[in-house]
Amino acid sequence: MKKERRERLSSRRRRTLRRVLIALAAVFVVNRVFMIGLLFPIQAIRHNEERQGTGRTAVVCRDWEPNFRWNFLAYLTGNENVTMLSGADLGLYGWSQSPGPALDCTEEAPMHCGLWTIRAGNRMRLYVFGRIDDPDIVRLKIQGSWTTFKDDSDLPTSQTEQEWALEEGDWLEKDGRRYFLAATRAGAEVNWSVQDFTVIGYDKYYYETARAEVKQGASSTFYD
Amino acid sequence: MTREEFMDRVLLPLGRLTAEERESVRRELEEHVEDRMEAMLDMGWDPALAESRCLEAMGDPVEIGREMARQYRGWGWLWLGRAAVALTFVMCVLALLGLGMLGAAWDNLQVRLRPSPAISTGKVENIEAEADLDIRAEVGNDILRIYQVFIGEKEGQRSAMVLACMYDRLPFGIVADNLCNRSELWNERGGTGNSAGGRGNYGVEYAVRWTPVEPGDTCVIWEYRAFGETIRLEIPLPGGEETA
Repeated sequence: MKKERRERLSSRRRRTLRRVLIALAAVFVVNRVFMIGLLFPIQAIRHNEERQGTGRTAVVCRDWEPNFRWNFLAYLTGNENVTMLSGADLGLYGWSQSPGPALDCTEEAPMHCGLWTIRAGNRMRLYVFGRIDDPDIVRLKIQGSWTTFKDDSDLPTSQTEQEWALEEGDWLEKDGRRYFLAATRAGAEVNWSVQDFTVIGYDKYYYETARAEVKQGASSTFYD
Repeated sequence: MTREEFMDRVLLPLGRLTAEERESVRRELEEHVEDRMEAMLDMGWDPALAESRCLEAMGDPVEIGREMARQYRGWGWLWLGRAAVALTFVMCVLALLGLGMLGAAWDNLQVRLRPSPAISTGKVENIEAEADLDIRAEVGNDILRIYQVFIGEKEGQRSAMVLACMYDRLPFGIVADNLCNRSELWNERGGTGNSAGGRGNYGVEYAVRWTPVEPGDTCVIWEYRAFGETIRLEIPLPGGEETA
């Protein structure tokens, strides 16, 4: 009886395509079912959107401060209803989401502002961000104080008066909307902090047209 | 020329093959030779002679090798294949490490069939009536589902308690969190109560809310608000028609 021919000789290309398909299927299953193994940071941002219920947002800008945390990216994103700051962190399980504050911009207001503090070990980074909806506002002043503490002590390790002056050229624009993002880092070792910031908008004649206390915010911690 | 010598001459121009590829080529050629020899052996040929004739009939081994080399061109394909294997291995390891996340995936599947009855509702006394419901609404790409209501006594007041869940439209999708905090339960007089509990993970969110009701009330309203979107669901109270 003629011996049955075994499988056809596979060329290098065919074999590679098969392996690539298997790899893609494995990535899909792990990403979808286990929700880990994300290969790209933008996937983590999309997970943040899903978890916050904001809908799809567009990336306005990305911030990377390797001296603070080399494997962490902060993304400012937004859509018509939401301005959001969130993070992607690269670890053993691939990129993972780090949720930050999401500002509800559906109510009419000249500005929508938020704040995010992130602690990594004994380092801390602070972001002040937002969206400017009043077209008359052409410059911003962000001012406030940031007091940091170590452990449970009531004695502050540092107290900083922070001020940023942002002209229109410093802002970010996406889909016809204007955004701002300011960041700083704690100078001393810190475990927790108290912050009190105000954002003031000025028109082209330097008259104050809007003032908002930054009340919405979030804080995140990475245990190194 | 022996079979071994023939194979070696074929494989000579294929110096850049991996060990696995060389073995595949050798196996393929062996099968060719075996196929050709089988017919001759059936006719009674001497095995050594049959093999020799078959090898002659196959042609110039070096030319065969050159033809086969064409199928194994491109180092890029080789490295891409190896990268794909490495990626698959990494994903398998991650899947083992991430077994704990299967709980969320399981919850996500289970809620579509039957929302969990094991949700803490706090202390409720003197339950008068209860009803299973299936009221759904789309919230973005999530589904909000009201699945149970009952009337009893909560904190000394006659109250309606409603159980709700939310999950992504697609299986294994991520649901928005904070179902409890984004929801309110209103009675017919515009009053609202409080949250009575809930739990959640990436796969499903559960929330329980209650509000005071009076005899004669026929419904309560579950309101969900998030980022400019408001969903209001009217929930009929069990026994509401009888007491009206």
